[in-house]
Amino acid sequence: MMTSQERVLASLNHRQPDQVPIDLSAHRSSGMAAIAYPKVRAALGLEPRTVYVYDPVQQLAIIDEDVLDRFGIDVTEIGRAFCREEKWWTDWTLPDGTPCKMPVWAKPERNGSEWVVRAPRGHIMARMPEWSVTFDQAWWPFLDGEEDLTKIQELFKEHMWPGMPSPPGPSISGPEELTGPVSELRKKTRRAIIGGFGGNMLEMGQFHYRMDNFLMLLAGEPKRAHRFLDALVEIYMKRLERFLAAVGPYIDIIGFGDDLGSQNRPQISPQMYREFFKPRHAMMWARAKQLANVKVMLHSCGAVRALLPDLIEAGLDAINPVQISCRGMEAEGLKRDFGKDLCFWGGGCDTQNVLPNGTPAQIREHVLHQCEVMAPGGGFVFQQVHNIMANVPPENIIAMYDAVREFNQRGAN
Amino acid sequence: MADLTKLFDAVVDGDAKTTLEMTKQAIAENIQPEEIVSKYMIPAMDEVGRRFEAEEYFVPELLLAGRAMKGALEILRPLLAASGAKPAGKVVIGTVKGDLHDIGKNLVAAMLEGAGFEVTDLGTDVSPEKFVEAVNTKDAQIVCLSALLTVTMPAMKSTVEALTSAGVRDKVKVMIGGAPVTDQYAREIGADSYSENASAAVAAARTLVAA
Repeated sequence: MMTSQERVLASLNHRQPDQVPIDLSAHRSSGMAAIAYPKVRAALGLEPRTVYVYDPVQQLAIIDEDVLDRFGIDVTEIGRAFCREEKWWTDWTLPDGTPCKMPVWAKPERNGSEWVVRAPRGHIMARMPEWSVTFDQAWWPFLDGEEDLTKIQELFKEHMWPGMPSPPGPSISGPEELTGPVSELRKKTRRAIIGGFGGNMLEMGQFHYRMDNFLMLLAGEPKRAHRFLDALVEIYMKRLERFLAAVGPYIDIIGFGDDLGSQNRPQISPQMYREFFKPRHAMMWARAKQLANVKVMLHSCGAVRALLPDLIEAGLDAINPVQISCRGMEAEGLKRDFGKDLCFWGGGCDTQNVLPNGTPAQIREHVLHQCEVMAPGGGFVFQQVHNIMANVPPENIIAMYDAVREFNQRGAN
Repeated sequence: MADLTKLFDAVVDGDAKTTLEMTKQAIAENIQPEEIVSKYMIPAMDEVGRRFEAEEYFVPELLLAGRAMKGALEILRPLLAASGAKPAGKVVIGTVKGDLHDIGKNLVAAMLEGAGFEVTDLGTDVSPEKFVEAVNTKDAQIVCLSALLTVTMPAMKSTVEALTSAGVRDKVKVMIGGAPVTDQYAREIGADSYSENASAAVAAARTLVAA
C-alpha cells in the first residue's frame, strides 16, 4: 500500500496509484465552510470542537486530523504548521450563530447591519452584508485610475485577498521563518504537502484596479497593463526564490492561483492569455522547477478548456478545480484530450448543483462516475469542485467521501 | 458632415473618446438623437453582442464597448427625454440580497441600455422590498435579478414571492442570471426567463416586451 504522499506523486506523474488520492482543505479552494464543519463532525459522531477559521475571507474551517483520517485525506498544506498558539486567534461568531476563532489579523467588526474588516490604515477592506457567508472586497488601491507601481508590495496588506491571508499570515515576518515548522511537518506527516504560493496575475490586477477596470485595461490600454504585470511579476520572482529556498525541500506541490474562467468561457480570449499571462506563467513555473523538485498546480475556476493547451505549454502539471459544471469542462472530454499532459486536481463532485441540492444517493452515483472517468492511468486527485459551502447538508458531504472510499475499495478487490 | 459609420466602429472597438467626439459632432449637425441611437448605437451594440456570441469578443471587449456607449448615452439621454422618445422598455435590475457581485449585472445593464432600454440599476445586496418598490415607482416591465452564489440564489425566489404578494407579479416579467443559475432554476422559482450572458439577456428582454 502506498503512503498518501506516494499516492499523490504517482498520480501527478501519471502513474496509476493504489487508490485515488483525496484532497480536503489543503488549499483555499478545497475546503469546507466553517458553518458546515461542526455539523459534519456531529453527523460523524465525533465530539464537538472549537471551530478555527482557516480562510477568513471565505470562512473555511481548519479540518481536524480525526475528520481527515475518517475521510482518508492524502494532502495537507504548510500553513498547518503555524499559528498553533492561542495568541493568534480571536473570538468571533459565524453568521449562523456558531462561535469560532478568527485569525487575529482578520477580526470582523459590526458596521450597521453588515460585518466589515479594516485594513491597517483604517479603511474598510472587506464587507459582508447580512445574510451572506463570505466577505467581498471593498477597497481597491488603484481604483481612482492613478497607480504607483512602486507601492504594490506595501499595498498587499491594505486590500482584502492578500490582506486577509490564511496562516501563517503575518505570524511570520518572512519566508525564511517557514523552514523550521515546515521541515517538522514533513517529518510528521505521511500526506503530500502543498506550498501555497499564489503568483496571481489577472486576479491581482482585478484586486488592484477592480475587476471591470483591469479587464478594460487589458483590452484598451495594453501597455499600461504590461507595466503593471511587469512590476508585479518582478515581486513574485523574488518571493518565489525566497519561498522555495525556505520550503522547497519539504513540499511536493507548489500552488499557484489565477481564476481565468467564467461560467461559459474564459474571462479573456486565448489570444489575450498568450499576450499577457502565458510568458509570465512560463517564467515563474520554469524557475520553480529549477529551484525545487516540485509539481506546479494552478487553481483556475470556470470554463478554462480553451486555455489548457497554452497552460500545458507554459509548464503546468496540475489544474484545479476542474469546474465540471462549466461549458466544455466535462470530465470525459478533458481526460480524453488533455489527460496525458495534465493532472486533474478536482472535478470529483459538482458543487454548483449536485453537492448542495442532490440526495446522498445521487451524489454517490455522480462521484463514482467522475472517478471512473478520471482515475484510469493516474492524473487525478479527488476534490469536490470548490469549497463546500455553508448550506450543504452534512449527509451529502459524508456521502461524497464515502463514494470515493467505495470506489477505492472496489479497485482494491 | 460627420461620417457616422465611424461612430458605429468606435462603439464596436470600445473607443470611448471617438464615440463621444462623433456623438457631439452629430448633435452639433442637428442629427436627431433618436436617429443617432437607432441607426448607429443600437446596431453597434448588436454587433458587439454578435461578436461575443461568436467568441471573437470576451468580457474585456464587452466592457470596453459598454463604457464607450454609456459615455455617449450620457449626453444623448437628456435630448432623448426632451424629444419624448420612447425607450424599448423599462427595466429594473439588481443583485439580490446578501450578494455583492456585480460584474455580470453591470454588463447586462449596459447591454440593455445599449439596446435602447431604460434601465434602473438598484446596485447590489438589494432586498425583495426594494425591487417591489422600484417596480412600482419606475413602472417597469422587466425585473432582472442577478446572483453569483449558490447561497444567495434563494433570495431570487423570495424576490419573486415578494412581487407576487405585493400584487405586481402580473405586471412585470422576471429575468434571472448569474454563474450558478440555470434555466431549470428559473422554472422552479416561477421566473419568466433565464439568460446565460449579457447578449442573450438583450434577446430575452426584447422577446418579453414584444410578448
